[in-house]
Amino acid sequence: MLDVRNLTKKIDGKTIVENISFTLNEGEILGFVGPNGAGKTTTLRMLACCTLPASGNATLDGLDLVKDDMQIRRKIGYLPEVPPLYEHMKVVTYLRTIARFKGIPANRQNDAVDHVIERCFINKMSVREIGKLSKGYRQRVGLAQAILGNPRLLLLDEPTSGLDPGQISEMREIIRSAAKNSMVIFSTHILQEIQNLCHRIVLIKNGTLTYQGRLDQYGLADDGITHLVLRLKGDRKVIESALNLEGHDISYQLGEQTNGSAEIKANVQFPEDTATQTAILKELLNQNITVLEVSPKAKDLEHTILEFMRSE
Amino acid sequence: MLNIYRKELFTYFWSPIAYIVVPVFLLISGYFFSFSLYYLKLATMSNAFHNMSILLLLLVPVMTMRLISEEKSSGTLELLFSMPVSIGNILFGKFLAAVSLLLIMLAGSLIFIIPLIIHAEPDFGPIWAGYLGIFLLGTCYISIGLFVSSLTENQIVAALGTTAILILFWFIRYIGNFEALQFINLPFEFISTSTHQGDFVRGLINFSSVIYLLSLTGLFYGLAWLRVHLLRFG
Repeated sequence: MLDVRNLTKKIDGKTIVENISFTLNEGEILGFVGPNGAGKTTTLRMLACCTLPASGNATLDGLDLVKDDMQIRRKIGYLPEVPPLYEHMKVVTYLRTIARFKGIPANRQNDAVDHVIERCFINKMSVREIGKLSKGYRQRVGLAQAILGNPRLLLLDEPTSGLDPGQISEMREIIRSAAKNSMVIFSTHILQEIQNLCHRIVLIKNGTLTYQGRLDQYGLADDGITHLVLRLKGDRKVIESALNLEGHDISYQLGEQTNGSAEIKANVQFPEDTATQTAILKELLNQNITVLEVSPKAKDLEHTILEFMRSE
Repeated sequence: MLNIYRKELFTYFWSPIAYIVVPVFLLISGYFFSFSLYYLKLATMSNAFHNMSILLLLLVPVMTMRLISEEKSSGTLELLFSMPVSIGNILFGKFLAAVSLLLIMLAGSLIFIIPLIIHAEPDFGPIWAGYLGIFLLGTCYISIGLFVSSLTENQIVAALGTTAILILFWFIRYIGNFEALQFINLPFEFISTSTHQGDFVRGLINFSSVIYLLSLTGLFYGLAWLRVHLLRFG
C-alpha cells in the first residue's frame, strides 16, 4: 500500500506541490489529472525518489520515502514523460543494463529482460539501436524498463502522449496487464485514458489536490456497467414501475421533481447489455412517459474535469 | 558501482571518443618523443611527459564532457536517481571509467621505452616517477572534468569549461610574474598543477606534490558529488 501524507515541494522558495495526500491500494490504477504545470510531474518525481520533498512523507509497504529510499527504489518502476534512454545502446543491451542497475540477480536478468520484451511487444526491435527507433517503440522501451523486475509501484508520466491510436491501445493493454502485479499511478491529459484505465482519479491544480475519488462515482469505470442519465416527463410512480422491469438487473435513483414541472432526472445502471437499454426505453414509452433525453453519464466526468481545468 | 563503470566503459568504446582520444594522445606524444630522441638526441622521457601533460589539458575535457551532462540532457540521470544506485556509486563508476581510459592511454605510451632501451641505458626511476606524475595529474583533470560536466547539460560547454579551468591551473604560477597582480598574496606557484608536474618530470616524487594532486582530485570529486546531490533538491 502507498500512503502519501502532506507531500510538499518547494523550488527556489516557490511552492510547486502543497500538502498532497492520498492512498493507493493493491491492484489499483490511479490517474493524476490536472492542467500543465499543476504539479503532477513533480509529485511523481518525489515518489520516484528523483527529488526530495520539502515536507511531508510517503510510505510504500511501510517503508519511508526519505529514510528508506534505497529499499523503496528497488520497488519502483518509473517512466518519465520523455523516456530516459541510452540512445547508442541496442534495446536488449539497454534493458540488461537497467536490470543490473535495478539489482535484479544475475541469474534472473535474462529471463526478466525477455519477459518485458515479450510484454511490451518489442521482440522485433530487440537488437535495434534505440536511437533509430520510432517514437512509439521508444515509449515501449521506456515502459519496458519501468516494468522490469515487476515493481510494486509503477509511476508513469503521460505514457501515451504523442502516440497514434493503435499504439495507445497497445500501451493501455501493457499498463493494464502490469497493474495485475503492481500499483500504478499515471498522469495524463487524455480523458479517454482515465476512462479506460483508472480505478480512481486525483485532480491536481496549482500544486494542490482538489479532488480525489473513485471513477465509478462518475459512471466511467471500465466495470462492465452501463450508466445512463434519463430526463423524463411523467408520473413518478409510473416511472418507478417502468424501471422495475422484470427479468433485468436494473438499479436507479430518481431525482426530485422540479416545481411546476413533471420533469424527473433518473440515474440508471445496469450490466452492459443493449437489450436491457432497449427494454427500459420501450417500457417507458409503453407507460406513456416522455423521454426528453438519454445520455451516458460519462459526460459528467468530462464536464467536471474540463470545468476544473478552466476554472481559476 | 561496477554496473555504472561497465556502462561508461561501454559508452567510451561504442562512441568515437576512445578511438579518437587514445590514438591522438599516442601519435602526438609519440611524435614529440621521437623528435626528442632522434633529433635532439635526448634519451629521456622528460620531454614526453611534459608534452603528455599539455596534451591531457586538451584531451581530458573530451573524455569527461559527457559524463554527467549527457545523463542530464537525456533524462537518464532521473532514471538513475529512481534506481537503487547511490550518487557516490554513480560518480565513482564514471570517474573510474575515465581513469581506465587514461590508463589505457598511458599503457600504450609504454612502447616509447623500447627505443630508449635500444639506444641507451635508461634510468627507470625517473620514468616511473614521470608515469606516477602523469597519472595523478590525469586523475586530477578527470575530477575537474567530472565536476564541470555536472554543472551543465551541454557537452560543448562542459568541455570548454573544463579546458578553461585546467589551463588556469596550469598557467596560474605565472600570475606572480605580473607586477600589476603582485598585490594578490596567494601561493600561485604552489597552486599551479604545472609546478607539481615539473617535479615528477624531473624524476622527483615529491610528497607534497602527491598530496596536492590527490587533494585537488578529492576537492573537485567532492564538489561534483555535492552538485549532483543538490540536483535532487531541484
